[in-house]
Amino acid sequence: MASPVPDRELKKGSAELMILALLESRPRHGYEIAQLIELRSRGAIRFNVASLYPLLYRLEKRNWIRGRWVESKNVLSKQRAGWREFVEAINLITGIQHA
Amino acid sequence: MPDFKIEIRARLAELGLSPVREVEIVEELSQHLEEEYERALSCGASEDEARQQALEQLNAPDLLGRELKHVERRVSQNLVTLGAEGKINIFADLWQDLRYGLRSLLKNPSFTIIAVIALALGIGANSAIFSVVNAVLLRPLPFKNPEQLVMVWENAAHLGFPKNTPAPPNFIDWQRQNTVFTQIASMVAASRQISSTC
Repeated sequence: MASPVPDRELKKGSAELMILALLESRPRHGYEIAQLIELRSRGAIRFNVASLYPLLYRLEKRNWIRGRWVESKNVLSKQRAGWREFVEAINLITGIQHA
Repeated sequence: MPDFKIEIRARLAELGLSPVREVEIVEELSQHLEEEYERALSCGASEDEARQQALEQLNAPDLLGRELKHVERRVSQNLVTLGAEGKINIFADLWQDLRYGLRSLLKNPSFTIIAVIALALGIGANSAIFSVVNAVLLRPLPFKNPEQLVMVWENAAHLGFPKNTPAPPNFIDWQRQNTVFTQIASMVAASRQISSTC
């Protein structure tokens, strides 16, 4: 039976958050990220090479994540400064203020 | 293991990426496809099926190129011809070189530290040596035409003093009878004690 495929825009909108959330605990490489998303969504969300990597490179360009070649693999980690900017932007939009 | 790099390169061709960036992307994406290939094999697929499954990752032929086009910067595609005068953008090249140099230094911190220490020691030693050479050899004496200054001695070699200090009356004779030098002056090296009383 085919797994339910979420709306493409929904996937597109939440993908960045999913990736950042996965990099929260530790650095990972692209294949690992794709596998984890597929596994945790029980196959509902599946990224292929053509959709995942442009997204990763975009996050890298924004300085939210950073790639570093370790043992011939590009390992991605979350950038603290970029993440803070993102959280501040979200807070600004949602109007959340911290004490 | 099939070579996926050709397939990936074909999809990146139109993007006009810098060679370094293209190599990085091809390497990363081919590793991903190789992992997919291995996974398909371990699930019981034949080599051909596994290859097809991996290549499906690149499906929607223009998706990869289209998406990457928004992210990756295009580099100039000017062909380099030997002997031809190409357009050179000095500042762009310099900026690129500086960034490359900085990245390389950050990538190898131990090399960077050694290079900085070596440079610091070299510059320090050079400055010290130059200040001595400047004071001793290069800085001119406070006279007009210092290169014409000469020191004159009395020759008393028969007494064992080829460079003898002349007696004051002799010096006065030299001054009076001088037709060679513009001026003659004498100097005496002597020590003095300076003290004060209250």
